[in-house]
Amino acid sequence: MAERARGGAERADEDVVQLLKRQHQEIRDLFAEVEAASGQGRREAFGRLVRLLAVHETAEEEVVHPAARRAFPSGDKVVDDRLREEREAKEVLSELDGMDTDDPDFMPTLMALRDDILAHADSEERLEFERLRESTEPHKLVRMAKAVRAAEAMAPTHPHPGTESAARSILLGPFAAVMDRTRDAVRKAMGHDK
Amino acid sequence: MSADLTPLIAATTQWLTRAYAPGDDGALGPALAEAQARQAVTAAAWLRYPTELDAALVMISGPGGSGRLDWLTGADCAAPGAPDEAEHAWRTWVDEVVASWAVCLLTDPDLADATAAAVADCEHAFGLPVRFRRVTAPDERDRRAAPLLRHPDLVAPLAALHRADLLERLGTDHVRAA
Ligand SMILES: [Fe+2]
Ligand SMILES: [Fe+2]
Repeated sequence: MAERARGGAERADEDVVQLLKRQHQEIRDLFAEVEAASGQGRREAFGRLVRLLAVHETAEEEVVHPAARRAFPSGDKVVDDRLREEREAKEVLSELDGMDTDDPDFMPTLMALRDDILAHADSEERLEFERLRESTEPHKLVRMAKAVRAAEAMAPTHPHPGTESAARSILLGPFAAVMDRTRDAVRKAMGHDK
Repeated sequence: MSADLTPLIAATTQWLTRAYAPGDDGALGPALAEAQARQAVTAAAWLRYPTELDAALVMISGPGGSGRLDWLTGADCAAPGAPDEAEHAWRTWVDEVVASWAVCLLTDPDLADATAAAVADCEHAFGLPVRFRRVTAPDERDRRAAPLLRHPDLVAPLAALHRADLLERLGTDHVRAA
């Protein structure tokens, strides 16, 4: 999970607004990094920026915008405005992604994208996140942060303790079936059967 | 939205994005392919393990791993030389049924809508109005980013593995002529 450690300040009780603001700062830093680098370094930094933007906007769209729509009276309008900004930025991002980082048009287009994205992030923080925070119970905001982190988690680097040998074995099919039956039996025993 | 299924979801997503990697050399395509695969896998995992208890049990018993999927697709597991430990480790968290259901959702809008509706109020959502837009309403850029993952013929063998269970789980209301 080395990649997750980058932000540093991550905490279990962090709420979703703190988490997304931290990502906004990471985005700001990465724009500066792309700008400062050249050649292969710029390509590499740009790759990280694009990935973070895709992950960040996906999480907002999945978890935060739907909640904001319900959370305060003008929520629908505020979110629709943010989605429009995200769509516009996505078009510039898509254009930029098809360009070589050494292309003379790359830097001007990147700067235009940066201005759009940072203005969008600022609108989110002022118009959406603050109001979401005012109108949502703190434990729900912490839940939402958990959801965002889950949606960004890397695949585990340690094997499942019980399946190390089974997964490589030709007996996998029957093994999985046995586990399904076990689960069903436990569910029934606990009165959770549908 | 419980963190419990996270390793299963992350590993199954990784298996799908590697098995159906588009070979796009930009940075955006792979990121969007992963984002939609993850949303499909999340919806599928919530449907398969709808309660906290279901999730806890599969985390104890183990999701089964990618053994049969690797064999089915001839995925890179069969690469020359034994796979190293790290490469093997994440594959033990792959859930074959969830992977199969996820490609069903990515290739059939009706199943995607039905599944999103079915999991909207499940325990994992914790009452939050979660939206899997890249699965239920993919835009042009999403589609272009995952041409293999969204190609019904290419994912047919995987989808066919457990589609019948998916239809059964969703109930006959949502079953279309397959
Ligand atoms: Fe945004
Ligand atoms: Fe944002």
